[in-house]
Amino acid sequence: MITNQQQADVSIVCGAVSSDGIDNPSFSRVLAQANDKQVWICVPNVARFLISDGNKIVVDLLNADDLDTVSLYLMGSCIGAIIHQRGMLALHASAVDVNGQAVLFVGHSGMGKSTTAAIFHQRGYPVISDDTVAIDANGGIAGGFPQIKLWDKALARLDIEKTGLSQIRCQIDKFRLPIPEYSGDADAIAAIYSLNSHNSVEEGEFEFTRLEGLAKFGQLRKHTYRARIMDGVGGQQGHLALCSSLAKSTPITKIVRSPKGFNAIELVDRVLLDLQDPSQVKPSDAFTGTSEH
Amino acid sequence: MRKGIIWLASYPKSGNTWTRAFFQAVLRGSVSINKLQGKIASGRNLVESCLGIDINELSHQEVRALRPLAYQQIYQDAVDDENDDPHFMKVHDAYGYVNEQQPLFPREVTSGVILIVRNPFDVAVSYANHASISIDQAVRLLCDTNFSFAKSLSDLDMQLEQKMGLWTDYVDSWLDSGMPTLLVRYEDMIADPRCAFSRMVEFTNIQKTPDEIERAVRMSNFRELSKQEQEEGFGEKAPGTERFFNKGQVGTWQQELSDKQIQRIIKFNRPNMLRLGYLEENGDFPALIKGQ
Repeated sequence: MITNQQQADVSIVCGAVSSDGIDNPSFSRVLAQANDKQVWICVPNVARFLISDGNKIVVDLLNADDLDTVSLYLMGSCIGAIIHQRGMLALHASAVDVNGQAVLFVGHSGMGKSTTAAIFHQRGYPVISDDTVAIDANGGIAGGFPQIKLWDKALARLDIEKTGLSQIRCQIDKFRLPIPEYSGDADAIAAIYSLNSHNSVEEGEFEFTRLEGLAKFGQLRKHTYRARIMDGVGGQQGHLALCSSLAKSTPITKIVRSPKGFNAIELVDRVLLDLQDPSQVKPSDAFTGTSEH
Repeated sequence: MRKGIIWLASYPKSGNTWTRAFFQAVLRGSVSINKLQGKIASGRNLVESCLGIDINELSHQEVRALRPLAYQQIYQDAVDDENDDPHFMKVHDAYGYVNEQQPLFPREVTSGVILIVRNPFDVAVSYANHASISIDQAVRLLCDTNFSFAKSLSDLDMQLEQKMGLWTDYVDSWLDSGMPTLLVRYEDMIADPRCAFSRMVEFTNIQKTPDEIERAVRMSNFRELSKQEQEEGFGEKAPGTERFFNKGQVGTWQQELSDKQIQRIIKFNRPNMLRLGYLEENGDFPALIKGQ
């Protein structure tokens, strides 16, 4: 994990990790468990991971020939667990620096977070993080890994030549686009956009709604990285307080587009316009804004 | 019937959503099409949250291998739940195996299977409308052993890959699964819904009176579901098509399919068309599929 201080502060060691999980888990799914001390993750035929104290990961390799996959889970789920254990908020989001302020895109996988970040990158805006964003108790955010992971189709849409890019795993057509390490100092989050799709929106259109009240909190909770593991880690009060203060201090806008696809370049244009002149988007009713698309 | 998952299995456009609406009506006393009973077993978010690990950077084959574990978690949650209502899951996948021994839908988590089938002629017409493709394309899919949903390798779909294959093979896959199975024909649901749904209620061991079943049938009829879609939209409608609840009739194929298309469907799907009464040995079409 790269922090603002540029210190490696997580130790990763190989060792035995039980196949049965951990003692007294307060969260338990078939391949992941958590309690207030440890998070256990099992990826069959790849590795088992035990994450503790917000700074230690033990890896039990089940297939020494598939280190690409091991490293994906280390940099994804394991770092997500570390962030939770440190009492920080891990959002499933990409983040870019627009004029010295952080703008976040939250959303489920496949909604276009990385594609959006890649377009900002193409236009010269620094990318702070792709996929997971860590937010501390003061609302500060840290730079992530200097890469954006993009599917083959997204690369084609963005006219990015994939020759020379490394595939994240040989089994899937997704590639690593290297980007400069984030060296800016955006420490305040200016805006959060939630990316969604629904068949009520025509292809080519975007529906922008400024969320109010509880709906904002709901979006942060919904897009917290592995929110239920976090509940198992404990410190739920701290997490809820973080979500709540972030929701209060930051405009959150829900963007809905057609499930058939969208023009990400147009989306970035709309977002930049919205950041310049927020008066064009109407706020939702605080009580109806929680309805899910 | 022991506690466990009841798979509502069907080829696409064969009455699955209608069945889910009926079960919601009979269990909850009301129907809201956007909150139906029986989530789809191939939902990416559902499977991911049951497993507890990220699956978005795994291949189709790797995710398929993990799906039985997700269903074990759903089963465990259903067992732990004090609510004794049956736990329904909608499925479009054919019954199959993820490796030599492990079925995609494990027997030990299963309480039963309701297999809903519809004359493939009408399925082709309905699917063409649903997917905004030509009838000829839809006919070809029903005759394609590789027919599957969400199989893209170059981007991420919110649905996991679902292999359906030929209509006739699909029916065989579930009938040969060895699990307790109730076979229901769409045409019988249309002709006598009270009788067809009563059989489902009996199979799932839900204790309801004939009057309650009758009310649920009325509450979930085509007109009602279609009205709700007009008023509030339907999240499961494919983008690009006008509506999900299109005609809901038996026999529209007679106006829509060419002789060539009819013969193609028969050529590839004959065994179960004969077995289920959709075709006579001499090649005639029974009254059952003509909507008369």
